[in-house]
Amino acid sequence: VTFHAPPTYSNELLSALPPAEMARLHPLLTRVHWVNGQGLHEAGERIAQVFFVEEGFACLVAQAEGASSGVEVGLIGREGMVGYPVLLDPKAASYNRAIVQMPGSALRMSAEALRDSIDALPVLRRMLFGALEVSMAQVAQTAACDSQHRLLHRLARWLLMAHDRVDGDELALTQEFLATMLGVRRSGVTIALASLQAARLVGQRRGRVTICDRPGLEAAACGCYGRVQAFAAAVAARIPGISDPADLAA
Amino acid sequence: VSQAGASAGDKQGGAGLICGLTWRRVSDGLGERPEPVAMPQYYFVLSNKDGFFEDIEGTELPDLAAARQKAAKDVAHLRQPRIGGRRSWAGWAMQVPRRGRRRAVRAAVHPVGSPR
Repeated sequence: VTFHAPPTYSNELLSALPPAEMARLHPLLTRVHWVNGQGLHEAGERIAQVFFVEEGFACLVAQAEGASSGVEVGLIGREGMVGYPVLLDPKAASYNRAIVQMPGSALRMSAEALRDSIDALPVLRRMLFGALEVSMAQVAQTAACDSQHRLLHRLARWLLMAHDRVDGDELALTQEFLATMLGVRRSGVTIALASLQAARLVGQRRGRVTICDRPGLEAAACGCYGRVQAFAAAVAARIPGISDPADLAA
Repeated sequence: VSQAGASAGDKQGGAGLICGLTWRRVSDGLGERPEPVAMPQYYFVLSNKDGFFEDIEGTELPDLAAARQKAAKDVAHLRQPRIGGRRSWAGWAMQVPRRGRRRAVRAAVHPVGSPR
């Protein structure tokens, strides 16, 4: 008899699963490497594969009618999965475009396999529905924030969200890219980043932003960041005893 | 040769930005094909008498006229309080240093308005 060590995952949804569910899921997952800017789902196209993020992050990009480029409406890192609409319908199409924003890796699974799995695995189902709830909150908060708050605060919030999803304090980002994601001209990002830099909250050189003072950046961001964080914590608290799957059978 | 694309999303027409390069259609004995066009890099420095905001990335543009147009749009963009903040922009100007001579000096950014 050979004993296999249980697989280990960096993805927070997968790593919270009980061993039995993990073992069922493991053969259905394929590790894939992500390159920057890679398209994962195209707007209007059927979601054939979902991605459990292991490293790096993806963003959801929405397109305003008539605009030349889309804006970011949500970030998904190792706390989540890219392809939530499949939870609701295995034939779901993606409304937004999903692209890799920070290179890394993910565990890929077919939409059908995911649907079969959530029917069979109660902890996975609860975890994914919780993650979907948080993702919906994040998208809603981003829309509210974008319409009400100053670029400086929105940028600080975006940097915090990105920082949450990477290892270390350095983010490989150009100002041009940040401007596109935030739906502003680059000159605006130049001024806002310079203000954060003057306050010694971030450092920057071409193509790179370093988070120098995380608590200071949190204070500089609008309350929208904290709102989503608090909501995510409340959702997590509501998912009963992950260590005791019997709770979930009910 | 038509006007180069103004944004990364503009891939129509005779020229546009693909993979960070600008392409134009050329037609000669070898047939019609796209060919990369080298464009000058312009840096847009916003300054007043006390300091400046450095442009660390620069922008590739076809000519100085396009650079002038971009500067005008940038300034209008920054005048919106939600973008440029509630600071007074009196005395500030956006300038494009002479082509090819990027300002190498790094000076402290004028602390205009706290990030709060």
